[in-house]
Formats: sequence, structure tokens, C-alpha cells
Amino acid sequence: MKIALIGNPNSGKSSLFNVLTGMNQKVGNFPGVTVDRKVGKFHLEGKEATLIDLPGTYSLYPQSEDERIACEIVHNTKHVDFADAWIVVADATQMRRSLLLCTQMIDLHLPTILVVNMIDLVQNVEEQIDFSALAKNLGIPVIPVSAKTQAGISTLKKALLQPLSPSKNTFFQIPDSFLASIQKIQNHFALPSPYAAYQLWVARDSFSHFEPKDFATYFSNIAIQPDKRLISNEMAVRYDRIDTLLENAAPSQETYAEKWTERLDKVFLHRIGGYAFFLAILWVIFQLLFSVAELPMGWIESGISWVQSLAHHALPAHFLSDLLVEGLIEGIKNVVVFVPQIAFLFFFVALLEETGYMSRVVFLMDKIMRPFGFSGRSVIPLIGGMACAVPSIMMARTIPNRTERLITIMVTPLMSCSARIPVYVLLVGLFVPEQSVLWGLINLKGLVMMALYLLGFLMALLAAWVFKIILKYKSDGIFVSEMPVYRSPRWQNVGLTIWQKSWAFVSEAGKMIVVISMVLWLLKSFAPAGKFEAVEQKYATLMENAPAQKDSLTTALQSEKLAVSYAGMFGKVIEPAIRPLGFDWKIGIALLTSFAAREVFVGTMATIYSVNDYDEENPKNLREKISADINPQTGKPQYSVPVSLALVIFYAFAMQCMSTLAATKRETGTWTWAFVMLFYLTGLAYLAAWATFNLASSL
Amino acid sequence: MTLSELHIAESAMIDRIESAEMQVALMQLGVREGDSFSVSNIAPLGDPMAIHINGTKISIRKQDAKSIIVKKLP
Repeated sequence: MKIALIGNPNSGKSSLFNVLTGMNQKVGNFPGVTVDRKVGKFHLEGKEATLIDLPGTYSLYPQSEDERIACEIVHNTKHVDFADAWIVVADATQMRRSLLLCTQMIDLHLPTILVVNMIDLVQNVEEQIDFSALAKNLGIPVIPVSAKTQAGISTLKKALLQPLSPSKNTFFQIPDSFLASIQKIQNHFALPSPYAAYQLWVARDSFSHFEPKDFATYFSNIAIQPDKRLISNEMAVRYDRIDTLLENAAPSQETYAEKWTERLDKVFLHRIGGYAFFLAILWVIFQLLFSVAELPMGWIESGISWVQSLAHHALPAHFLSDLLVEGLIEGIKNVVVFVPQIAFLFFFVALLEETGYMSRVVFLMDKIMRPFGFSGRSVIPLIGGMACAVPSIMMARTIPNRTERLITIMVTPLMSCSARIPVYVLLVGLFVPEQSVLWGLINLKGLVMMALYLLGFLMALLAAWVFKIILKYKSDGIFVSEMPVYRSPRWQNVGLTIWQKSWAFVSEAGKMIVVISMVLWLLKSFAPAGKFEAVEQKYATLMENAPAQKDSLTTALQSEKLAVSYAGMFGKVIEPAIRPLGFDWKIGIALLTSFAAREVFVGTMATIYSVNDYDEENPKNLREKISADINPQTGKPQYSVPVSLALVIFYAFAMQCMSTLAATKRETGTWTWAFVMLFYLTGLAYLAAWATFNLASSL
Repeated sequence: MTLSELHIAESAMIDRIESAEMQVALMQLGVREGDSFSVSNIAPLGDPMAIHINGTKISIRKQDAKSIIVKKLP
């Protein structure tokens, strides 16, 4: 048996879904779009039932992509998610509005049950709503429940076991003048009800992706054009009927939650207090992210390193052992190390959504974000980008408008993430002296670091604005949205969100990250035949002659091996292309290896310059070696100020992160946008570094 | 007068919604012509605004609010 949940956003539909299915659920995408498709299983007296959580919708006339998915499934009897029974989830505090969708479902002649959720929020609910009269007048079972207190859940399960038939009532009569055409449409597409045909006709533009191939052409041949006012006329008829149904209900009074919401919003939406509170929340999130999430990241890194060293000793010296330990296990580490950040950021995001505060963020930021083609909801992903672009790109899913979502995803990697910090620390030290200005108040290095953060942010705004123009996006469409009442978070929902997002990253983006890690490792560890052997032989002789210098010779050996490896060859091959930026083949190698993640740059540089014990926080000895490197062509230091500046600028903009690429592919649904991102960011980085190098050299 | 001209805490009744699209968007949220409401909040930059209507709170952009003709209530 297949059952679908359909209902308004904020009606507690997902909570009901979680209560019914528990951990027995899977999240994927609906075919062809990146809209969450949640499917779960639960038991009905020994029989297994499949439950589908459709995207929230206010009516069957879709206004957004999420709503369109829900509406198309309702109309398409051949859709995999077309259900045997439909549960309309209504909000007990918003009966009038919830019944709009319910009466539409009834008119479609679908077997429907009305579940009135959140009865815990209404005092004396039995006196307020006459459920049995409602069931009689609607002609379908009506079951009051609370997903929060679990009241009524067993009654709902019992009701689902009864044979369910469509209601015999009709709430909206199709105007006589259209009946003949509607009849034809119904027959042509074999629709189960005349109202289904009416809906498709009236709102045919919204159903552009509807399955039958001749859908668009068929309607262009129909003589009578639907008037825009038909939808509002229909809704007016429905509300008149609904108002009669609810006539005996006690007049709705301001609930406790509403009163509190009004009071809290006086503070949270205050012109100064509102922003101050929002900033405080961001500050707390960042503090916890860096102080708490870094801990498990450290454990993962050291734990996996420990496993690697164990495996290294246990396994025979063989190419396959190296592939396993340094290729595969390293790749898995690169995936798992993201999980704490993803889990942490989604914990906060779920909390903001659950409590209702997220819609206040949108309210506060809407006007500021709109000119750049962002949504008010883009704020959290963009700021999250200062920690890590991966979870931030995943967060963009909650942006309702497709174009705004895409723009947000495309520019988020420009925000300076935490992986850039070690790169900046190393490079900024090359051209900025340890010095304080303004009587010691400002540290010069700190100032440059801040400028780099600002640069990333400004570039993100500029890029968004350019994307807005290229995509011909007009952000002046109608935008009305509900601001739900504040409520305490449902922890089951928070926990499931964290679990689903972490798992989605590991299972979907993870594969690609492991593959790229292994390819990069292969490039570093292999050389054309005979090259490694020659280098090894040379050092074997050197070590024999000077056994005291064995340690420093071993590091030098690693460095030289990297130089002759395929990665080293890559560096030399691309050298002509990066020479206009002042980069040499050594930087070329680092650019290749740090595609895994930006911070790998530091490690690669340490190998190239044979630095044994470098410290990420204070890479002093590595910096000294780099500064001492002389360019054989010019006879001057390779890392002049212009080169270092160009390199910093390059890392500020470049897409040096395979995980971001994988996340973008997952969230946009196609490789196209992932590659657009890769090329535009690399191109931008190249041009900016070139301009910086030339400008700085001419000074 | 239009909704966009109202200030915080003022009450009014929706007289007419000029844009058909806006009418549908609001009706979906349970709002019809003839319903009365009060202005709860206006965002610090003057846009959007939030109205409290029929037991729910709705955020509307100023530009969209211009198509909603209201009658001010005392």
C-alpha cells in the first residue's frame, strides 16, 4: 500500500512523517530536480506500507518548483509516487486555509483522509472543531492528531486499514460554459475527474513538465483561453463553502503562541536589536564551530593517520598496500573529515528552521540581498561559506526560487573558508613583515588577512550580480511568505536532518572525492619508467657516503621524487601557462595536488622544499626555505612580493576543492553547473593573479 | 490608500487586490478581500512588511503591497 502525505508548509507534515516512519526512511531527489523526496516504511498490523512525504503546498495551483512537484504527482496516475491513499495534513490552528487544499483533493475524486495536526496547540480542541460533523460534510474520515504528543496516531493507523473510497461530495462546480472542453481534456489524458482536467487547463503554464508528451501542444489547440481570475474565483467559492463548514466552530481567538510571537518579534525584528541578535547568533555558531567541531575533525585526522601507520607496518611493501593506505584510506579521510562541520552547521540550521527564526532572517535580509539576485535565505549559506563551502552549498536547498538557489551555490566558494587559513598564513608571511602599525594597535598581517576575507565577500557579491545578469533573472516576482509562530524545536526532526545531510554527503559526494584523491595520489607516486629508480640510486650512494645526514637526505629524496613524478611533469608542462602569473613548476605541482583541498598546498610546498618538521600554525622554517629559493633565470628570489601576492589572490578565488565540486554536482543535479563553477572560478583566479602580478611588478 | 502606506500597529481592511497573481498568492494563505489585519512589523530598511491576519503572519514586499488597496480602521 502506498500512502502520500500532502499539506501546507509548516503544518507539521514532516513531523508526522518522522513519527510514522522513524529511522525507517530514505531521502533522495525527485527525478530530474533537486527537491527532497522522502520515502519511508511503516507497519499497519503486520502489513508494510510505503509513505511518501510530498513537498509542502498551499493549494494544487503551484507557485514554486516544490509545489509543482507535489501537484504533478497528484495529477499523474502513472507517477511512481502516485498513491493509493492520500493524507491531507491540516494545521489545527489554520483550519480554514488547510481545508482549501483538502476540498481540492476531494474534487479530484482521490481516496483522502484529513488529518488535523497540532491539536496540542488549540485549547479544548473538541469544543472548537466538531470533527464528526466535519467528516460528515467533507465525506471523508477526519482524524485529530498531534505529531508532538503522538495523540491520535494509533487511530490514524486504524483508519488507514479501513477500505478508503473517494468522497461523494463536490465543492466546486465547473462553470457550464467550460464543461464541453473540460470533458474533452479529461478523455484525452484519461484523467480520473473533470476537476483534474479543469486544473490542468486553467494552470497549464505551471504544469510545463507534465508527463504526456503532447501536453503543451494539445492545449495550444484549444480555443477558449483560461482567464487568470478563474483561480481566484474558484478559491472564493471554496472559502465560502469552508466558512459554512466551520460556521459552528468557535470564533478563532489569538493563541498563546501568537501572542508570544508578536512580543518576540518586537525584539527580533527591531531595527537595531534585530540585527544585533542575528549577529550574536552567528557569532555563537562560529565560536562553537571552530572550538567544538574542530575537535572531532582532529580526532578523525589523527585516528585515520594511526590506522594508516598500523596498516603500513602490517602490510607487505607493495604497490597495492600503498594504494590502499595512501590512496584509498587517505581519500576516505578526506570525506569523513567534513562530517563534523556538516553535522554542526546543519544542527544550527535545523534549529533555526524548527524554531521559526529562519523566516525572520529572511525578513531582515530580503531588501539587502535582492539586488544581487540572492534570496533572504542566501545569508546563512554565504556566511556558512566562511567556515566551509560544502555544507553551505547543501544548505542552499531551502531557497525556494531556483535561480536564487543557483546563484547562491555558484558564489558561495568565493567566501574565505577555513581551509584557506593555512595557505594565507604561509603566504602572507612571505610579503608582510611582522609589524604593528598605529602604535601597536593593528597587526599588519592581521590587517592583510582581514582584507582577504573582505575581498572574497565583495567578489561573491560581484559574481552574484554578474550571474543575475547572465541568467536574465528579475527578482521582482511576487513574494509573499508565511512567518510561522515561534515554537520549541522537535529534536527528532533536528536529529534526522543532521543524519540525512551527513549521510547524503558521504554516500553521494564521497565516492567522487575518494576517486579524485586516488588519482592525485597516483600522479604523485608514479613516474615514467626508470626515473624513481635513478633518483633512489643517487640518494643511496649519497647516504652511504654521509650516514650522519640520513634524515635530511631522506626528505630531499622525497622532494626529488615528487619533481620527477607525473605530478612533477604536470607542473613542468603547465609552467608556460602559469609563468605570466610569476609561478614556476613547483607552484604548478602544488596547484595540482591542492585541488584535493586548499590546505594541501602547504604540505606539498613542504615536500617540494624538503622541510621535515613544519608547523601549520607557524610555518617559519618552510617560509625561510621558500624565501631562499632563487629563480635560475633571473637570479633573484623566486618568491618576490609580486609572486606571493599573485599566489594569495589566486587562492582567494580559485576552485581548489574537489569536495565543493562534488557538493555542487549533487545540489544542482548536473555536472554542467559544477564545471561552470570550476571554469569561472579558475578563470577568475588566473586573471586576478595575472593582474596582481603585473601591477605589483610595475610598482 | 494602499497597504504600503500603512505604519506599524495600524489596522486596516483589505478592500481590493489589484493583481490577479497577488490575489491567488494571498488566498492560498487564507487571505481574502474584506479581511482585516494589523501591521506587525516593518523590516529595518522599510521593506518588506509583516501583517498579522486571520491568525497568521505574512511577509509582503513593499512593491507587492502597492497592489493591495486597503481601508484604514480606527
